[in-house]
Amino acid sequence: MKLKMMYTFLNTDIALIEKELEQRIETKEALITNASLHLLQAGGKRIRPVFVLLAGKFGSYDVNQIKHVAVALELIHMASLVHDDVIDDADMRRGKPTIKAKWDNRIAMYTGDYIFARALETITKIEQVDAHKILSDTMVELTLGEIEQIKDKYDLNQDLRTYLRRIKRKTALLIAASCQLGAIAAGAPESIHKKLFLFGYYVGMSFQITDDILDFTSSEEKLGKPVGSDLLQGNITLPVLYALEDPDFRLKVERLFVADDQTELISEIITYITSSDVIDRSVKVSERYLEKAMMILKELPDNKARKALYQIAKYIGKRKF
Amino acid sequence: MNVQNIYDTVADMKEQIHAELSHPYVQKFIHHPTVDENKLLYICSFLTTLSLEQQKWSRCALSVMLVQTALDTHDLVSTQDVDSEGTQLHKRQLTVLAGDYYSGLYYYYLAQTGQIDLIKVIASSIKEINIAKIHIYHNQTQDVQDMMTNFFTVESSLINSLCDYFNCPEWRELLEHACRLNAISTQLIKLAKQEASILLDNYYKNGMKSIGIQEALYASSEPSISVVKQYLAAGSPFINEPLKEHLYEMIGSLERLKNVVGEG
Repeated sequence: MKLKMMYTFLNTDIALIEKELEQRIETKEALITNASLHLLQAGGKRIRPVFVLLAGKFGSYDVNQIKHVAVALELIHMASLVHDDVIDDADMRRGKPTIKAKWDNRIAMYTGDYIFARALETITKIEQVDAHKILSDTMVELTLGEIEQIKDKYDLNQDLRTYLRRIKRKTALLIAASCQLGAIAAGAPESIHKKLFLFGYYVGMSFQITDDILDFTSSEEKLGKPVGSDLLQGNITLPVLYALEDPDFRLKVERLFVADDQTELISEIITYITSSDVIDRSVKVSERYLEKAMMILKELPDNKARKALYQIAKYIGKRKF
Repeated sequence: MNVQNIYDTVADMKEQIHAELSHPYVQKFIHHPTVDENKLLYICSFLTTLSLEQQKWSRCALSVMLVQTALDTHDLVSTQDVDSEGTQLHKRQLTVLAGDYYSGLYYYYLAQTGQIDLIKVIASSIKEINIAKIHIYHNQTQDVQDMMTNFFTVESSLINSLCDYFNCPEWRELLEHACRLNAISTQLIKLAKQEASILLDNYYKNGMKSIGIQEALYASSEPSISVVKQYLAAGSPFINEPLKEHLYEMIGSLERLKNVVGEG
């Protein structure tokens, strides 16, 4: 089943969010509007707004209130993508030139800051102070996670804990916040929104681990970037961490990091990773997080949103790109 | 607030801001950001005249200065092509993230004290500043006046919004012009030292000569000097001694420089 088919009952509200996103980024300065629209129209799964809306179904759902959270979270995600492309020096995203490639780094910085400001303007329509405490804390953690990622690049001596803490900050916390804030904005009780936070956290962890696996097992066509890109950029992900237990593999990676021509070595590394047990071991960790997410779901009231969350979590665990 | 108190307040705030801006790993690779002490003096002078709890006004000052530093940090992100594994890229990456981190902290601190309206006001100002920056940076056909208007938005929007938020029109007028003069002084120094800035870079990019920008800066300083002088001459009771001293000094040095250029 396609992801979008799992929450067709939200179609009208998702269309509303899409329209609001376009309105939010519009400004008298044509370049900012064009740059932001360029990114917005490149698409994306809009998974964060979907989580916000679904979580809102566990309280008094009012789309005119909850939309502020959904729009703000997608804008925060968008702003971070614009800056990430400067960080990664990336020219392409979702098959389209990045803002930094189409214009330059400075335009990307200003556009990212502009989108971030629009996100905060939007979220201030939510009056619950707790929502702001959670989101602001998440945003600080998100950046600290990115700094950690840069710090840990090319470091072959990092351990599983370092990796898990990094992906928690980098990916899981924003998904967790999406779930929790949707529920808070809908006035759901604490017992519910805390469970939704945990659900989002576990799903987010599983999502990132799957992403890290796909970097080796998927194709360049599906990924939109060469297979093994993460490792080529020095990012030590879960499959690599497991493979590093083999001293021969470790030597190969050390050589890769200093090689002028990396083609042959990365190909050997990909073959090693895909033919050994490290992918299975990584999948098991991802599945463990998904199981925890499913357990949490069982504690939530049974409704259409819970079913959709279940389907999405299952999809995330099995996705191939 | 007496003279020593305002000096102590500014010094304490500066220390607090520096502590917030510190990140051990980031500071290994990029310079510790410079805090604009003049703007800090303006903000502290203004906020300490309001009947706010100490924690609220200090969070407010801290947040505005964090945003200012975040935006200034992002101006330092380089545009040149760099080696994909070299130190220049590393430096650029951390410059992006340092700015993002400071922005996040502004939201964090105001959220902790529940100042949601202020979060919105500052966000709106960040939005205006970035629109103005893009206008200066990208538009090739604008005239000098247009460029200066956008430049002043970049330099004073945050403090303007703060004064508007607390509904203090006199402070707004005084500080808006003080910010303009502060920015003009900074640009003249950069011009003399041949340092980069968003305004100067764009000016050169458009093929204009340095004497032209110097004249434009002096011309733009005149209305602001006049406004600030009026406040000082009226003996406005809300202006504390250190601020008064600073404003006289800034005007004096701008007028002296202008005369030297005029005679030269």
